[in-house]
Amino acid sequence: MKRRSINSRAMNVLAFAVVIVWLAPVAWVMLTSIKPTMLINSAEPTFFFFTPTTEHYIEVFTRFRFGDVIVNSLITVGVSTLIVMILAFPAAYAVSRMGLMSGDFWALTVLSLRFMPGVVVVLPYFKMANSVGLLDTHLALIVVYVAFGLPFAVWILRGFLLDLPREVEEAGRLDGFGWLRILFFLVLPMAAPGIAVTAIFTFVFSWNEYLFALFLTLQKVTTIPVALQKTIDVYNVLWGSLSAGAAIQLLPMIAVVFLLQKHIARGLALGAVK
Amino acid sequence: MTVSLRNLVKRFADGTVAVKGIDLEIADGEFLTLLGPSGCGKTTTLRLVAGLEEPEEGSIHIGGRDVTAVDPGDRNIAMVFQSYALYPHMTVLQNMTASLRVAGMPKAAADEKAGVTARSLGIEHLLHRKPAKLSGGERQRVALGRAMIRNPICYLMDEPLSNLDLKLREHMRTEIKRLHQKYKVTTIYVTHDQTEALVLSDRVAVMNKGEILQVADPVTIYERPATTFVADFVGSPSINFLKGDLRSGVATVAGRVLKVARAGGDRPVTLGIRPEDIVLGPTGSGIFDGAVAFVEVYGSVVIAFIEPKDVGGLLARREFVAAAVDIHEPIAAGDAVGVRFRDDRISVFDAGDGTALSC
Repeated sequence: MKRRSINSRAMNVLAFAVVIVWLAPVAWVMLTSIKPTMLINSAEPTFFFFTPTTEHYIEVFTRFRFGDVIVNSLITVGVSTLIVMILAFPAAYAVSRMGLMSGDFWALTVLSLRFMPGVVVVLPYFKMANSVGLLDTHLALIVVYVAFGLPFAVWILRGFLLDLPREVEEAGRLDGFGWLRILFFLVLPMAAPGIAVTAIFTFVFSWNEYLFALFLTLQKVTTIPVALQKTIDVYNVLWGSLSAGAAIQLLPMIAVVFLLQKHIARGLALGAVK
Repeated sequence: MTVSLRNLVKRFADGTVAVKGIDLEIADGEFLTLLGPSGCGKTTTLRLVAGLEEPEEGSIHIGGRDVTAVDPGDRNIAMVFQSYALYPHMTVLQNMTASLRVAGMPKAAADEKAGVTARSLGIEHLLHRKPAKLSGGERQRVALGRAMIRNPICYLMDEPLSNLDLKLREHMRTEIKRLHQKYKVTTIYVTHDQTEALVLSDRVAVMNKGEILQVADPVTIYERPATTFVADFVGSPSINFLKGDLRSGVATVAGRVLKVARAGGDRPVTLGIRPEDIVLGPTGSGIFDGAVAFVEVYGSVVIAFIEPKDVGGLLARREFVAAAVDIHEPIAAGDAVGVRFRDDRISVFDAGDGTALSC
């Protein structure tokens, strides 16, 4: 009993240390985003005793057009996530239940598309987008994000669906349910935590994506990661603006994780990523 | 409605033959149980009847109609699953009325029918709860209600009581029996619990390795098992097997004539004797003597496990002879006893293939 309590205390200390290591940069960014420029550039770092400022937030919205940039990110990432989920759910069901491309070989083959480094295909994508006039449009990024997000979403959802009790669907078949009714009235509600987790992952990957956004956008549809980079030029790094932009990029993610943490924990425990 | 399975064969993708050419006729209103150990093919057979699996060979007829290629939802059968398989996000009422609503029944009529069914099962107070808020017994009743509400022509039950504790299982067993007596709907019930099979069924089909070994009423299954497997699987504590010889139609064990078997020919045989067909007396009074190694109290009876003395190689499978003794009889470990059998109750099996020779 005593040993267990010592062990659990040691685990707590370790967990706390890990959390500090993970959160320290985030806290640093948050603090820098509200610190006056003079203090940011001072040789002595200041952590607590300063008057917070909104100057950097105002700057990213005025000078770096973050209003438009956030809308661009929300459109491309939101629409692509929605399309990915609409396609991935029936696809994952077909894979996990209907014997279509079932088995680990196919699952890994599909997943391996996700392993492919983006830099391998970014130039062909750029050429293609340019030749069909999609450069610097939302659609170009949406297409790419769907192409890259779909295999991963199918793979992760397949894990969730395989964990669902098959008997419920069989009971549905005996009750006279057709495939679509089984899919949307039985499987969809049961798989909701898994779908939420998959959607969050898909959203996060696209939300943070930099390479394709850099190549396929010029001015009009720039997303947050690309806009952040514009706070760094040849002569200068605008740490305040960079931090404010990074904080803006982080906040929706943190909000989503806090709001859906119950689903995420359940989803992670249920699915293939456990 | 009658159900008939004709030469049913089911092979799985990995090459396993789960069902090997089963032929079975189930009469209208009959309660038939498929009994057997795990992996014997009983659940697969039930799933074939349900339409959840497709047979490689053979056909399934329900009420005279060939339903082999008919969708499960169009067979007008209802199934109760081992895990209950209730729709977790729906209330009990929605669970029960789902099939009626899919079939196009208006909500008011479906709800009214659910109310009537729920009352007959004593679950009307649960109608607006979700399955997660129900106990195991309540879930079981809801699963039964969901099956009953459709007025199916046949019920299929796949180990529906195995997730319940003993008391509740006995209670629900009686409930299922009562419902069957009342409505007389053809029922195919799958279980590995021989007590459940004997208590509930009009007939029991004992299965092993994808084949049906014997189909008969519970008394025949218990008293006249067709093979040593059936004899061993049915009955608790297990039947005793002794090595014997058949000479000129007479079975002998340890030099004593025990029972006349109808089959002719001289051959080694296995004799099956139920624990309650063993009579214990003073040493020297029986076929052989032995010492009580230990006893197990079962309630009304005590099972004495006896180690035979001076008759080596007598027992065919186990090292003790199990004898049922009335709870009021004084018996304890270490007692020396003489062991005798009720000759007319002994089953005789071929020692080679295990098939019954006596009638």
